[in-house]
Amino acid sequence: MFRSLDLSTSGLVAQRHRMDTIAGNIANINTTRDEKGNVSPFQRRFVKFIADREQAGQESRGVGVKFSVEVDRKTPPRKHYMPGHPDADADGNVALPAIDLTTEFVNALEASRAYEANVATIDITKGMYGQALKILA
Amino acid sequence: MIDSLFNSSTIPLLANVAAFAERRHEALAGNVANISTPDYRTRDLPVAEFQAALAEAIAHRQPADGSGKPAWSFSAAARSSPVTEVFPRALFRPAEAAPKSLTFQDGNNRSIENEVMEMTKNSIMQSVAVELMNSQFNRLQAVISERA
Repeated sequence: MFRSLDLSTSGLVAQRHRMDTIAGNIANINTTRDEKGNVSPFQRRFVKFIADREQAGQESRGVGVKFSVEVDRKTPPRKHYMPGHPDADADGNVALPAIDLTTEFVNALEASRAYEANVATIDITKGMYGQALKILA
Repeated sequence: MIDSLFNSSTIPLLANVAAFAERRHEALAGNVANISTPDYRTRDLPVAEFQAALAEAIAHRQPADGSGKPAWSFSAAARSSPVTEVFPRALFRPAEAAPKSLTFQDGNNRSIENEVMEMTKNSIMQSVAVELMNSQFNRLQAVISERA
């Protein structure tokens, strides 16, 4: 029974990490250099969700969620014409990160709702534990 | 003697109902945890089958051997496990549920409303089982201590 709490926690952690990557993306929406100072626009991060595998030999039960933080290397950077910018190329274009605010906010909303859903599940789980403990009274 | 005290009531059945509800809650919690996982299909326990097994157990209270013990008794469970015959392990194993809603483009057939509703119903079910068990224990307690 305590497994339900673990499952909900895995959901909470995954959604919180998703929120973290979104916050990082929005913070770096105009970043044109990497951590070493080289001219290279920030690459968007996102979380990939994977359904947890069931342990071998154990009977089938509810499954939690695993995640990994991935880097979007495919989407080309946005080009902004800013000839005075120190990181502008020969044509005066600056490569800005391929981050779309609308997409990020929609994802943030979804992540926070999914987080809420897991919290609600934990509440119900706690209610059930409380009930089961009543027998001991 | 103590066996018949517990087995003549529905306590073993109610224990199974509570155990089933708790196991089902796990499957439903897993569905909520995987609400954003691509290609995840919602899972559930075979509720209808469990209810059928429950009805069966109540309909055939007396086993064929004429021992007078109900088919779901705890003491019998320890020996030849009729309880696990009445409620096979397969009833407690989650499987991919029949799709109740649309499959989204990411291959997930999530339905948060459905999950939460099932979860609420399920927790009430567990609550009912526990309350009934509790009142039966209280009644036994009253008999033992000779007061109501």
